[in-house]
Amino acid sequence: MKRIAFGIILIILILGVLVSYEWYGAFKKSKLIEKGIFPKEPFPIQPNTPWWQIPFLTLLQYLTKAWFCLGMAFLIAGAIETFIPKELIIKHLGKRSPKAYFIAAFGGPLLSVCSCSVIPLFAAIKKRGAGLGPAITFLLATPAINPAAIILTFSLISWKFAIGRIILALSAAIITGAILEAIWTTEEEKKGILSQLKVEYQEKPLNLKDDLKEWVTNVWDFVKKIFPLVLLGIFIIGIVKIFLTSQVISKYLGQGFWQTALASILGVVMYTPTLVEIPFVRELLVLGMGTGPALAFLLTGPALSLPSMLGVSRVINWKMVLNYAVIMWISGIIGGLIFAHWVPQIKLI
Amino acid sequence: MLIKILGSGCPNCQKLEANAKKAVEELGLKDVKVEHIYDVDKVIEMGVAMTPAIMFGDEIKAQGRIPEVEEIKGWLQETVL
Repeated sequence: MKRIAFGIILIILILGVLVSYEWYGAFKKSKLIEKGIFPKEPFPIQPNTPWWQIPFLTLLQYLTKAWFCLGMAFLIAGAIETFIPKELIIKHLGKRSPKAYFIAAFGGPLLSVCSCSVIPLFAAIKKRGAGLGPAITFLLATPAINPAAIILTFSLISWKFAIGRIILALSAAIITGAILEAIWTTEEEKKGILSQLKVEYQEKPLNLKDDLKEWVTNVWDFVKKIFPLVLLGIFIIGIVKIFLTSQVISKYLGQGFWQTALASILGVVMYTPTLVEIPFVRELLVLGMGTGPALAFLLTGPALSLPSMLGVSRVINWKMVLNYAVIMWISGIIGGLIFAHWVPQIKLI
Repeated sequence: MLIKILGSGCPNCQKLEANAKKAVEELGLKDVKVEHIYDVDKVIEMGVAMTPAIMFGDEIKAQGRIPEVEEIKGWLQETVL
């Protein structure tokens, strides 16, 4: 237990540093604005900026804004990987019970498994463990609310979006899983005792030197895997930005029901590499996207994409895949509308 | 004896396969074979939840992580020698 406790304290400490840094920055900025001083953007994009510079400037803007938060997010992701034993979570996904939905929703994101092991784990939960419903919940919740994504949402957009994302993404994942279970699981399967997940949890003692070394290795692995994709993603956003005008965005993605439905379906089909959905939504918000469509996109974007659905359809019937995609699309709309009701507007500084 | 490596073919399981082969080679074990199982269905049949995984015969030695060469050598010494 000592090892886990140490990990949790470490994570809370990093989170504390991050939150106070961000809030202090925001506080300082708002004080300056009160005095009538507007902080200067170090890499401004103006109407007369040559178009080919826009992607590079966008990249620089995000690097100056997000380097601290991204660094902290990687430190935390590495700490979770090192100190939170996956076996402990998966063990609880080995039995059919209503509890399994909550473990899948809350524990899934802590597993931070690499994308190639998500599908085997999904198949394992479905066939040998808690069944179809929790497996779907796991599949949808894991990418949508991984800790790094939540931290970056908090830092780049706002804490309201971060909270909204956690609550609505978890609810959407649990509801979708439960509906799928009700539609597709036969009586026999419910009775059948298949639980055979052979997952043993062995407690490891705390060994400060080795554990910290492992932590650093894990953090570096995350950086190597994710950072290049994030840079590329932001660069592409910069290219897309050249072609988008605020008239187009506020017409098609402004506040409203149809706009939310459109944003939600875009999230279902589009492939957004992890973390890139956040600067993407931020840019669109600046250009006039409504808060409802923005949250709808954050709900469905990371959870679903055509490539991941194709992968899953190797394990379950494609009709089920289509089924959960439609339910997630609808949950995205509902979630977006609820969020737009509570947070009708947002100021980005 | 047969060492099974389970995983869908991503860099992680390739690394594990390389580690296992290296361990066998360094100990000079001629009758130990390393086999890689890519099929997700088969992996699940064996009761493994997390890839990459390594099995000695029917016994799961590790899953969801990449054991180092030294660790695999340790297991080999326990079981074979």
